[in-house]
Amino acid sequence: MSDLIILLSNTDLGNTPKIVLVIYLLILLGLGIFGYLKSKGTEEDYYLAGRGQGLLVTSLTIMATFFSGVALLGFPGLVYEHGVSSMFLALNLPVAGAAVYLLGNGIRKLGQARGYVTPGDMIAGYYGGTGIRFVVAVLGILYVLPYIIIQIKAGGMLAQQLFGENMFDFGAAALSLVTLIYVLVGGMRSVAWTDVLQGLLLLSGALLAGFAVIVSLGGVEPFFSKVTELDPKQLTMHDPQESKWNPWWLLTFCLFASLASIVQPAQWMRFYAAKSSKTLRHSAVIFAVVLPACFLFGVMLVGLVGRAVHPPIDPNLALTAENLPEGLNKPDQIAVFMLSEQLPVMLGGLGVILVSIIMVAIMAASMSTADSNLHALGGVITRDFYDRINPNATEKQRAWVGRIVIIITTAIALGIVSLGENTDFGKGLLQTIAQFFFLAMAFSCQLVPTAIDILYIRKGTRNGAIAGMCTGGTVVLATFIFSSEEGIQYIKRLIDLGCLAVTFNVIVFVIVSKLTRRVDRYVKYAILIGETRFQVAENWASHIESFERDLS
Amino acid sequence: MPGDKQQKHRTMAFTLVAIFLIALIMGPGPGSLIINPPGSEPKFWFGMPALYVWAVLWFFVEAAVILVAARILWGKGQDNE
Repeated sequence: MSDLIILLSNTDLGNTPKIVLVIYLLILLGLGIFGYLKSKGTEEDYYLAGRGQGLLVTSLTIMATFFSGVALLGFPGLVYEHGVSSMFLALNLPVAGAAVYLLGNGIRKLGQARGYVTPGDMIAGYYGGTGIRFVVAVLGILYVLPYIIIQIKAGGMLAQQLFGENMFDFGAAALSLVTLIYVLVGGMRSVAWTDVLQGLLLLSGALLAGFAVIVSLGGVEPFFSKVTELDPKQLTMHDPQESKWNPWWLLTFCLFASLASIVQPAQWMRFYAAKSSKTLRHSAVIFAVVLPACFLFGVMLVGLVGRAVHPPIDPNLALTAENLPEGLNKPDQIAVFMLSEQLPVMLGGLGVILVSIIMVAIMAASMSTADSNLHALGGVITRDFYDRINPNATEKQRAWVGRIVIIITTAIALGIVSLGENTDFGKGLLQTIAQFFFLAMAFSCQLVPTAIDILYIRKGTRNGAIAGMCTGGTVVLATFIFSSEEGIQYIKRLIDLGCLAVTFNVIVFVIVSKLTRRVDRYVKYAILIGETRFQVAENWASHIESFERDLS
Repeated sequence: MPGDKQQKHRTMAFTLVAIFLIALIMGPGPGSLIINPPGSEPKFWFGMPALYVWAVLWFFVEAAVILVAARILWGKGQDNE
């Protein structure tokens, strides 16, 4: 992102990006107020928009939450760096689309029947006990926090580009404030409506980028004829000894990474908020068909041809600023580099406006991820921690606790980002958080086996689920701690980290469940249902039957 | 749901899951090695890199499976809830 700033500062786009940005932020605030006017002040309304979100909002909020700024910058950057093999990443999106219905609809049904708000509500509701709720909440927080901090940092950098070198802190603060306002006043309704705008920007930005570059090179034929000039290594699969862009890593990534992003807390809450089965069914189809098409026929092509048009000086060396063409400091810049070069020449004033819209789309992708995660964090802390301390709190009290959590988290995130920009200690802290950002999906993935057990299998036990999730989380941490070992590096090139950790998770889950099932079957469980009421299930069998009824 | 219809749906579900898994194995998975393994000479189909065409082909298969599943299998009876 910082290199994007330098790049854009070299491009004379005048005041257009600033004007487009201001209009965009004003629309966001307007949508925040709209959400506030529609809200009913209850906890369910604040976190789940009254569980009545229709197709347009559900489909776009799921897509906007799924992708951060990485979608528009990182994907073309990866294709520029690693070639066609990295385009197979788009094939994880239909897997995620299928999961939107196959996991999401069951989650929605249980949420509506039992008043669940967070992932912890459902998992603790099924297995019983507070311990499992805390494990689920911690895994969720490990996913959510790094995302919030990194997205706020991205916002500060964009402001630095638009308004000047010294405007990082001001920009990060101003953008956090806008996000904070609409999350606080309108809750899920505002977040989802702003996601509609941000999702539309993301999809149109991705498609437009590919279309513009194809047109600028004279059409499809000249475009692909340019691609044929690429180095052969860019057009073949890679060897696991050299890089992770090999079929084994790609297959495990496509299977598991998408599931991790679908069961993260913010998405989970979107399933609870969906109006009906039909809403999620159609959302799943849109997700599985439209999103990969936007990448495969859009922004990924920019990275592919970008390598042919602006090749590195020495293709065998690392792609650092010294080894890249002038003005391009990092592969991630390639989409904006090519578009800011081609569009204004091709379309004049309209081209400048289109580049500005794509820039705002990049920011929108970051903001939609930050707001959804902030909102989800408020819910997780309130329901999974505060409720345990104060089970008699009223709905309004809980909604306000959620808001306070959101304010404090934003302030802390902003403080860390500011420290990272201005002090050595902060830089180190921010680097560590950035590393956790890359582990976030692997942590979130650990909820997949429990979700599948609750929705489809119903053979696992609480002890099995806790042991499985803890094992999976430990495997993720262990690979992080020992990441410099050659053996670990090879395994990580061969298999996606989330898949590796989930494999251990499932093995432990099955073994411990087998060992503890007999005990669980006859133990009376205190099952948390709804907000504060506790009911004791007669026995495990009738408890499972009640879940089966709610899922049918 | 009558037994016959249920059985038909179950068979279709298994078939669709199998096709989807095949698409993953053939597309991003080891199937891609048939087209352009590491170190091979790049192939081109219709003037485009063969691996790109291969990725698009398997994307269409995945998308078609989801469209069929959504139309025939997924919760048709629950639409009026």
